[in-house]
Amino acid sequence: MIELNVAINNKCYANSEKAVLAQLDFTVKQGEFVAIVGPSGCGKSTLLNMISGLESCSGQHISYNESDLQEGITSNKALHQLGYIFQQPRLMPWLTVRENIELILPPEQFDQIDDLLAQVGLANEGEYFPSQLSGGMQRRVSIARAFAINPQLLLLDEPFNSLDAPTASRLRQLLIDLCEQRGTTVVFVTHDLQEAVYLADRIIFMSDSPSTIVHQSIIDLPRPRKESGVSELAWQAQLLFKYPRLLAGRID
Amino acid sequence: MKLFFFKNSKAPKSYLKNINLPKGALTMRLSRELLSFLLWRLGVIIAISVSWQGLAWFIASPDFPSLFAVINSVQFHLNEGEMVANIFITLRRVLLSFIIAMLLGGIIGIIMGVNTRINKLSDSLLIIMLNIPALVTILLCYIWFGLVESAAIAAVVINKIPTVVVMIREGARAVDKDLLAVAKIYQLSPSKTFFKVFLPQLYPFIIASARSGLSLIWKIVLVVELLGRSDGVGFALNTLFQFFDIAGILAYTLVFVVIILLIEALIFKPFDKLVARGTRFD
Repeated sequence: MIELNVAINNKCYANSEKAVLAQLDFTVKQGEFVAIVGPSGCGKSTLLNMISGLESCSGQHISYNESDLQEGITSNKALHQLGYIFQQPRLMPWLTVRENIELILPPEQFDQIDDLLAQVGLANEGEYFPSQLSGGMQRRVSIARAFAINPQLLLLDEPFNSLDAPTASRLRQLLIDLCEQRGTTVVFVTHDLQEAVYLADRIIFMSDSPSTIVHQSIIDLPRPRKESGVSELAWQAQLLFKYPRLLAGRID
Repeated sequence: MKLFFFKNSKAPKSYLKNINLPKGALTMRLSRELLSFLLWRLGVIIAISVSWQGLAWFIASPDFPSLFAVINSVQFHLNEGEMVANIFITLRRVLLSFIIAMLLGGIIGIIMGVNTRINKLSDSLLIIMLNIPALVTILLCYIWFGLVESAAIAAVVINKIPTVVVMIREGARAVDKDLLAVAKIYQLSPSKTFFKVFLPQLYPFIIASARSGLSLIWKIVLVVELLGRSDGVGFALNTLFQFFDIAGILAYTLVFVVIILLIEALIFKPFDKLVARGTRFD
């Protein structure tokens, strides 16, 4: 079974004794869309950085496809299919949109860039520089970049923050479409429960730092879902009725 | 005629298309801007020339030759032939030491900017190097290595390297770690990461140190030539000084400054475009 296993014990911030992640243990199945919800500062970004290998600690055990990745995924040269969409688009400002995607691809795959840009609605913007695009368009480029390598595993760190509602909702739909098309395994970090209910198969709720997992819920709503659909909102209300302080990271 | 003026051409092309500009208006605006720019420059040069000539006429001393006397002197030295040779010799020294200093200074600067331990170790050495007078380095190089060409070049290079290191180090420190994380996630090769992600962030610093470097280097080269070489502009200036040929001194200065300005325009302007890629649009 292809899956992502994450076990983290006592991860501290760099140059600090203060633990940010106390104890996290979870598994993500292949093709599953998992949302991680928690209050701000609870170490959600740190978690993604650890899965991706940008950060590490001694008490971690992260494996993917049954291969042990003690140092995180990028240390494994065999696995070339990790996509990471950051909070900020993180495009190279001195490269055009097309060059930004070319940067991460081998030359023989350049011909798929046109398709990819068309899919994110930027067919005519390939020769523009990031600074000539709006924030929403820049995010779409970063989504296109992440999907260019056809990732098996996609990490997203609150990618739709600070976007206007219509743009964010368009991009969410785009994300769902691309993931369904390609069967991507997704770990999506957010603090927005409504967004998580709309997108995910399962939600993992984190406590305040030093964080642990306080609750997990499988979202059994049928797809396609609506962002403010009655059943989606009802599901959310029911959960919050049961655990009123869940979003603050507590189930008491 | 009122012309539309887009100070910031960041506006997407489609936006430009939607405005009803008479055909050719943009090129007209550009040529008009260029013309006024050139006229301004010309005006400044004429103003300086006229005041020089007027001042010389007013002072009427052989110590302050008129512009015409200097131009005559340029003509004289050009006809003699030794001026062209001297300038080429000096230019060769300038370019050689410039390239060596930029390369070595760039490499050391990047290493110090990236590696905090090496930076801590060599920081005081850098400050010492920055503050050793140029003259001392030149004299020591000549004493230790003899009055040879390589000693002259080494003296200039040693003078210039610390200032390059300081600027490039700041650039390497300011490199955006977030963009390097992108390179790591998408597993770019080390060379791709360096040339496509790391180095472009240093371009502004490299250009700044190159600009300030060229002007510093040619001044030091003249001192080096004056002290220990038997050719080049510095040597020629020394000879002219011994004959109190002030017009000759100014003639050499004038010609050399013009050449440095030309190098600036021809070499640095294209680099400027490279630096501005994706950030400034003009």
